[in-house]
Amino acid sequence: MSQLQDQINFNDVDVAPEYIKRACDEQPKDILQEFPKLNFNPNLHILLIGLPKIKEEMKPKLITALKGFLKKNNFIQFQEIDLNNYGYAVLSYENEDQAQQAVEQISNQNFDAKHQLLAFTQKQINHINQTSEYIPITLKSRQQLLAFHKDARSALTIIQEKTKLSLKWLNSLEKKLEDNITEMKLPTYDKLQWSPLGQYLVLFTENEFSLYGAQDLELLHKFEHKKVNELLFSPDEQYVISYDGLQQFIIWNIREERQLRQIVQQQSSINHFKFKRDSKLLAFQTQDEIQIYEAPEFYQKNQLNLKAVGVKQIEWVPQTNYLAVVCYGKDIKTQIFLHDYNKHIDIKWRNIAFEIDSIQIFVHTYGKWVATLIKKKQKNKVFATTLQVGNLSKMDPFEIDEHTVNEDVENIFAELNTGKFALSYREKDKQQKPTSQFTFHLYSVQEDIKKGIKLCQLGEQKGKDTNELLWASNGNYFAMVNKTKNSPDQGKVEFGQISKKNEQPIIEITKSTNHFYMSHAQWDPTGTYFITMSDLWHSVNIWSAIGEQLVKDTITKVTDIHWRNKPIHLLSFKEEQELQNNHKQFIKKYEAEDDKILNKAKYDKEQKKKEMYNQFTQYLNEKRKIYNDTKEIRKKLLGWDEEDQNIYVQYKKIIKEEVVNL
Amino acid sequence: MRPFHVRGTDRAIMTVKINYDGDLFFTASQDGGINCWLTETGERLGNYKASGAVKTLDLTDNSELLVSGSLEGSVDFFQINGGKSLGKLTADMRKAKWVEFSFGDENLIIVYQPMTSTINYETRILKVQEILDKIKLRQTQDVLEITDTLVTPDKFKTTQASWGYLNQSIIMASTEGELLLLSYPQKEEIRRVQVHDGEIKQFAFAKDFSILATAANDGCKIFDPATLQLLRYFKYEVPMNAVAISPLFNTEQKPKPHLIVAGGIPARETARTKFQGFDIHICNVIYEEEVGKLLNPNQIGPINALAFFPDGKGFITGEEGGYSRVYKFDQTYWENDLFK
Repeated sequence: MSQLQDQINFNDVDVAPEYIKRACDEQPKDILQEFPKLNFNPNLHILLIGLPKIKEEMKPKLITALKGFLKKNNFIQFQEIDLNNYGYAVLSYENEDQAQQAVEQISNQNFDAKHQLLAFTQKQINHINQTSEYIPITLKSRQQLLAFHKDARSALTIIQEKTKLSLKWLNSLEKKLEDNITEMKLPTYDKLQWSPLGQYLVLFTENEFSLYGAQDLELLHKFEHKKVNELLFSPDEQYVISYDGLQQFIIWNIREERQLRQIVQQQSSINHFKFKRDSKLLAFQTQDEIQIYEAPEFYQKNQLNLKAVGVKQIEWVPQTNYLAVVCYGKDIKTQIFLHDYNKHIDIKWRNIAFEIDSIQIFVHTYGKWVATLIKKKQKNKVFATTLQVGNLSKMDPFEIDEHTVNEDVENIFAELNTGKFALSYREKDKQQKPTSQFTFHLYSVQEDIKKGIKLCQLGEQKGKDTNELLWASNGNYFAMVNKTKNSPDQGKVEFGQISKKNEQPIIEITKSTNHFYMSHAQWDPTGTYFITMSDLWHSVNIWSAIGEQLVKDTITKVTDIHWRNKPIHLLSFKEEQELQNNHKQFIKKYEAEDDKILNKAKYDKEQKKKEMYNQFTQYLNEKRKIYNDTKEIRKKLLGWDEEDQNIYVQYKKIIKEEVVNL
Repeated sequence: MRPFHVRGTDRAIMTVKINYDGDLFFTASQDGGINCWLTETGERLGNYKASGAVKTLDLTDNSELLVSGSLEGSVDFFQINGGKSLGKLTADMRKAKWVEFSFGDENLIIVYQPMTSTINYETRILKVQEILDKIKLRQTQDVLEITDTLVTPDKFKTTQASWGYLNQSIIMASTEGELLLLSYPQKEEIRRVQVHDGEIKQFAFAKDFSILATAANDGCKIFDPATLQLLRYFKYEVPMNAVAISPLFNTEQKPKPHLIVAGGIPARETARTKFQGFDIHICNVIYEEEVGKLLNPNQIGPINALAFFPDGKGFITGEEGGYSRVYKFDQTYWENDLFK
């Protein structure tokens, strides 16, 4: 009898799917309700689930098998059984203790290879049915997340020893850093960054990335992605693409914490994804094709896909429907064109007939022009670099202004809000060998109603020891820095500004200084402050845009420092124009406010100084009193009196004069 | 304020001391030579040959006895007038790090690394007269054994041990940035505080023991010597090697609440950067602010030692480059409101 369950395989006699379907359509019944209510003690019965699903005629066999199972394991035998076809049974026992014991014995036991049993007493069932009130996750509203935009001061994240984070505000009037969030403990992480709008602070760990935000920088969302190391936010920060550095891309909806799509593509990078400015379309550049995905679910739109052989770079032009595409490569026709997604036509750039080394493309933030940097090649050697700017309001034919430098340009530093470019290349000595000094060529894109869009030369900076040029986001200031480790020029900083002379923009260097062992340099998002940091000596300097030192400090064991990102324009276009028209009134108003703050700060400082003086002189007077009181002991220890003038011997110079007879 | 410089060696100067009267000053260098100079003219009076690179030295108040500790593991005794070597202590010593006479020159404190260990440092207190007597007895043998009292706290790598006011306490600094206050002669621990991140290079007392100033990698801090409570903090981005407090710090008439602190990035790293930070900073302790900065354009190395004149009218520096410069404050220091 005990081997009955082994002889009959209950898996083979599974209920036919149709039978289950019919059973499911019926109204679900509570098994316990069918019992007669007179003399019914629910505590004597237990519910058993996990039995095989069987047909009506197999029931007696299952009951004998269950009995055998209990006997084999020396469990308590039941008195009555009520069995149904779905694998549920109600067993009744003599008393409550037995029922309780039976539940403990039967639970989590394997009936056969595929069926595990679970048993519950009536109390346990009641406990399960008592559901606590469901609390939905409260999402922070967008206003709460972006509240920091209203504060005009620039915020600075300071990370000490990779574990302590503090957020400070720069008080530029009093020239000091003020605490905002003091010392938050961070979990261990590999990498840290701010999102482009400054809403979220992203921490990367090995298998996930988490977003922190809102007033107190609390944990908002967490996403799992193995070996994640790069992120791309959509412009409105509703979606994010994470990349593991090998081939897997995942598109997420941030607010819903939901994975939308997974893209697997070899030999591509996160830079191959480009969001349109309104976050509705996502372009993905693969080999020989541009794929388009559409928000909110990011299904691939096959009819919008574009064939482009040898595509190297794509870029959406803001406020238009153009996608700028660059194609070149070995045995591939070099071409630059703008694809119009409304009319489905291509607008060609100028023909390129010569051999090229590489092409880069830059797009204006407000969609008025497109710029390209073309490196010309001959016999595997770059001999000239051309910067071209095309006017998007005159497209047929394309109006292009250009300038050529007859050198192999090493770096280009662009600022796309106002259109500023800097090309840099190494200088050569007499034997045509490259030196460590750099020359910078600076350009500005000028909009003129009559002449259209022109590329204007700002001038050259020759023989510089700095190798990097950083533009402020407002395009009026720049800083040239050298952060190369172990270089003798490490730490050089030169500030410059663009001013107008006879209606012609020119550059002038306002200050050249040094922050020794500088390892980090960054403009703040509004382009008015510049921060430099050395991780070797833990020193931090903040400069104004023209190079005036505002803050000089050392922070113990500082490892990382970031400005919190912010949009450049906090006001709308209309409000900004209103400000510009009535700027004199606003200047008066705000200068008066500044004066008040400054006067108060000055007064506070004087008061503090007075207090310090009083405290310290009191301390010193006490010490002096002790010193004077212990004069006798000192005299005893020394063996003579220090203040006795008589024991001092005056130093005498003896000059011997002799008359020498010649 | 144009200093004159003296140079008696090619190697780095480790320490500078001025005698009680202020007419002589002594510089000790890594090549084992101690030079004696006349303050007024900068004339060299003589040279004492110590047994190894001299790390530290001290003088008695009556300018009779000079003691130096060398990195070769010996403490040498010299007669200042005449330069006669009286003898040396060498037993069981790897490096001597600090020597100092007590107030009244009765006792001598020495900090050294024993032969048995490369980590631990030991501090001993010797009676000066006993040592001198022993030297007289063993004139043929100039090696003496250390047999005197011992003060060694656990796990404390001492860099400097100094006598407190009236020899009633001993204050010690460690390589981990700790300060330790011991009572004397009971030798009981009163307080132990963590004050700096890195090594405390040096600390100094005011003349009346009203404050204590430390120099370390992250700047200079001022403490109350009786309780080791922090009073002031001067932050510097370069390491500070030496500190000295003006003798006029707490006088009743026309006090000068100033201290000077100097240092610079280590000499081995100077080639890699153009910024060096070799300035001498003059700080006002009451207002916790820097009132002046001195930089000699000829200076090419960091400053290792500083000493104020007993009358407070100037100071002497000792450089890594082997130069020692004598600065005298000019009229603006005494008249300008900034320096009050």
